[in-house]
Amino acid sequence: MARSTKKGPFIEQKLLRKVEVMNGEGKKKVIKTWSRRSTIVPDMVGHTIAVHNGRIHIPIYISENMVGHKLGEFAPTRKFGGHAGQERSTRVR
Amino acid sequence: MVIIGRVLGAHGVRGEIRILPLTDFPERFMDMDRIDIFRPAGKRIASLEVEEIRTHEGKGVLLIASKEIADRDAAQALEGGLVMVLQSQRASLPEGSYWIDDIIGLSVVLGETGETIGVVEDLLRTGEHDIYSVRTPDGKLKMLPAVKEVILRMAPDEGVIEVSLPEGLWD
Repeated sequence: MARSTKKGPFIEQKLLRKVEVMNGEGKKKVIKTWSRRSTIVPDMVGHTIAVHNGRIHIPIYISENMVGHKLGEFAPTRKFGGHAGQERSTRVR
Repeated sequence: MVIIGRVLGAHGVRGEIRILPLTDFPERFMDMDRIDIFRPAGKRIASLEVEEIRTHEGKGVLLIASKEIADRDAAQALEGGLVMVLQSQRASLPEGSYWIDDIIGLSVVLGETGETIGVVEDLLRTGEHDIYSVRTPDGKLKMLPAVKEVILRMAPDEGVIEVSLPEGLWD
């Protein structure tokens, strides 16, 4: 069942406070978090948040397209076999 | 050689094979007249002249009919085979994109000082942007988001990636 809209999105308050403080000061520092369940809000856009995947923190640069998703969606928890040898490309976004 | 697909098995009883594309450009299959299938160890097991290629809607796989294979058993025998092409036959890349094989092994240097801080070891795909795993000289594995704020310059020809580490990224 979907979360009630009355409550608004869930965000870990400690994380939100850190983002708000940095926005107020105009600073950009990578924030480490374990809160994979937190929703990405517009205040986070442009910040880099290092999301824990159970082993290490994966640095995720937050862009507008990510708003509304959860932080955990962008930090995979399973080891992937890799794309080496395949016709796969990468680009700097 | 470069892998562009893997044979998943047979489709139907008329010798069609199912291929999972392992390329960012799956539409390249539509222009291929012949496909070469290899065992993972590198031995060629089939070279097929393509009669018809179609996509299996909703499955993300391609169905290929060829002159050489006429029944299900022969198609099933190719299961696990890899469709490969020569490096020179790779699809053309859009501006600003790089092959993952060319990125792995590059030295990561600081843009301000030129100091080498590691070597790209692997790449993670997270959905929005890629993450480069970098092995530092002291043996630790660190992560680098592939965004313009961090990656200043990519130079696979020179063997380096110039980066700027934001505060707290590798703490």
